[in-house]
Amino acid sequence: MAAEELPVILLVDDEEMIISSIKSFLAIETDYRLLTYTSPIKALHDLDTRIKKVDLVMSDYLMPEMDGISFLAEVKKRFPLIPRILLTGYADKENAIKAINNVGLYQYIEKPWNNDDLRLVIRNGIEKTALLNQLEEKIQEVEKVHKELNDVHKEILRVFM
Amino acid sequence: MIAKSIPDNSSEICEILPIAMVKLNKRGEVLSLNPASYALLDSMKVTPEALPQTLPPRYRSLVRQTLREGKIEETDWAWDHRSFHLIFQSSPDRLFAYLFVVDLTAQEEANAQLIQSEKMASLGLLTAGLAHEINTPLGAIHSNNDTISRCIEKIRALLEPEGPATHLLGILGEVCQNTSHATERLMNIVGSLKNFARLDEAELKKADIHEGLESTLTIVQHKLRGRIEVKKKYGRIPPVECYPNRLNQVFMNLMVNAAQAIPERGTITIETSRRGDSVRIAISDDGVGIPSENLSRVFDPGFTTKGVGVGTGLGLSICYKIIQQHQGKIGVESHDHKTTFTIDLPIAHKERR
Repeated sequence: MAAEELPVILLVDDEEMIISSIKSFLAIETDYRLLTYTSPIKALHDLDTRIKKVDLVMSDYLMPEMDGISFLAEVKKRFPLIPRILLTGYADKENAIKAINNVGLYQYIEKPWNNDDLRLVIRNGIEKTALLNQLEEKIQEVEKVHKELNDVHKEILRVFM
Repeated sequence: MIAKSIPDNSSEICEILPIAMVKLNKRGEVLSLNPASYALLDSMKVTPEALPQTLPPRYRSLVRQTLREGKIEETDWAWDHRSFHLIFQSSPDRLFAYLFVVDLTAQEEANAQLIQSEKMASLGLLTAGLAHEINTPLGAIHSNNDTISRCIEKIRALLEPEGPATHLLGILGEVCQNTSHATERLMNIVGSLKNFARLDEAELKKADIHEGLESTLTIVQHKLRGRIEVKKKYGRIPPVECYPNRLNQVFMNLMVNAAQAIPERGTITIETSRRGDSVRIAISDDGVGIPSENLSRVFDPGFTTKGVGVGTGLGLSICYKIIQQHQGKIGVESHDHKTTFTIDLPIAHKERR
C-alpha cells in the first residue's frame, strides 16, 4: 500500500510519554500513519487547515487546555463519521462514561491499557471507517445508476408517447 | 437529708435546666440537687453522698479563702468528659457552693467524628489524586515493556537459534517478564487505592463486600507482610446496600486493630456468610485478646489501651457509628486468644420515614 493510502490515526495526549509509548507499539505492530499532538487546540487547527485524511481520532480525557470529550465533540462537528476513542484514567471513569453517552463515542480505553486491546479497538474503528467509506461509494453508485435508469425511462416514454 | 430541689425563687428553672446544679455546704456535702443532676451523677456512677470525694483538692482551700476574704470565688475544671463550674456564695454566717456540671460526652463525640470524617475525606482525595498521578507513568511503563517483549520476539526470529545474541535476548525476555509482573502488581495497588477511596460513591448503593475487603487488604498489606497470615473464608453473599467507602473504613480499622493485636506471628481470618436477610462479616485474630472488663467499652469514644500515638481511640466508636448508619450491628468476642469482630449488615435498607 502506498504511504498516502495507509490509515491515518490522530492521537492527542498532553503527556509526551503516553504518545511515545503508543507510537512505539503501533510502529512495530501496525502500518498505520500516526499524527500526534500534545495540544488539542493545535490538533483542531491542523484538522481545519492541513490534514486531508483521518481515519480515527484518539484523545486523552484530562488535559489542561481542553478535556478530551470537548475535543472529540469538536472533531465530530468536522468529521461526523470518523470513530472517536477516549483514553481515560481511573479517577475520571464515571464522568467520562456519562460524557461518552452524551457525545456518542466509538470506544473508550482505560489507562493503563493493554496493547492488544488498544490494537483491536483501533483496527475495528478503522475497519468501520473503511466500511462506511465503501458504503458511501456504493450508495453513490446506486444513486448514479438509479439516475441513469430514470433518464432511460424518461427517454423511452418520450420516444413511445 | 437531701432536699429534692433548690429552694429559691428560680427553682422552676432549676427543675427544667438540662445542666446539673448541685448546692453544697462548706464541707462539700450535697444539700440539694435538680433533676438533671440525678441522671448525670448516675452516668458518672457517683452517688450524691460520694460527690465530695470527686471534688478537686483545692475545694477546701477555696472554701477557707472565701470565708477569710468574704468575697465570691469561682473555679472551673474538667473531669471524666464533664465540665464543672463551682461558684461560692457567702453570707456573714454561712457559706454555700453551687456546682454546675455539663456533660461533654456528646459534644466531644461529635467533634471527634467531625475531625475523623474530615480526615477520611482528605485521605480519600489524596488517595484518588495519587492513584491518578501514578497511573500515567505506569501506563507508559506497562505499554513500553510490552513493546520491548514484542521487539525481542521479532529480533529472535531474525537470529540464529543457538548464537550468543539469542542467549542475550533470552535474558532480556526474562527481565521484561519480571517488569511485567512488577507493573501488574503496581496496577493492582493503584486499582485498590481508587477502589478504597471510592470518592464517586458517597451515596447508598449495592456493592460487592468481597471487593471492598480485598481492596482494603491491599492497602493494609504492608502492616501484615511476612508476619501475619490472612485466611479468607468467603461465603456466597449477594451485593449489599451500603456506602462502600465508609464500609471500607470499618474494614481497615478492624484489620489494622487485628494486626496490632498480634505481637509477632499470627493469623487474621476474614469470614463472610449469609444470614437470612443480612450478611455477616467476621474478622478474627489470634493475638493478645481483649480483657473481659474492656470488652463492653471498646466501642466507647475515647477508649484506648494502646496509648498516645498508636491508636487514636476513635477507631472503633467510628466503626460503631458507621455500622449503625447501615442499620447493621457490630459486636466483639474475645477468649482463648481469639478475638472476633462481627458485623451484620442488612442486604437492603429499610425505608426511613
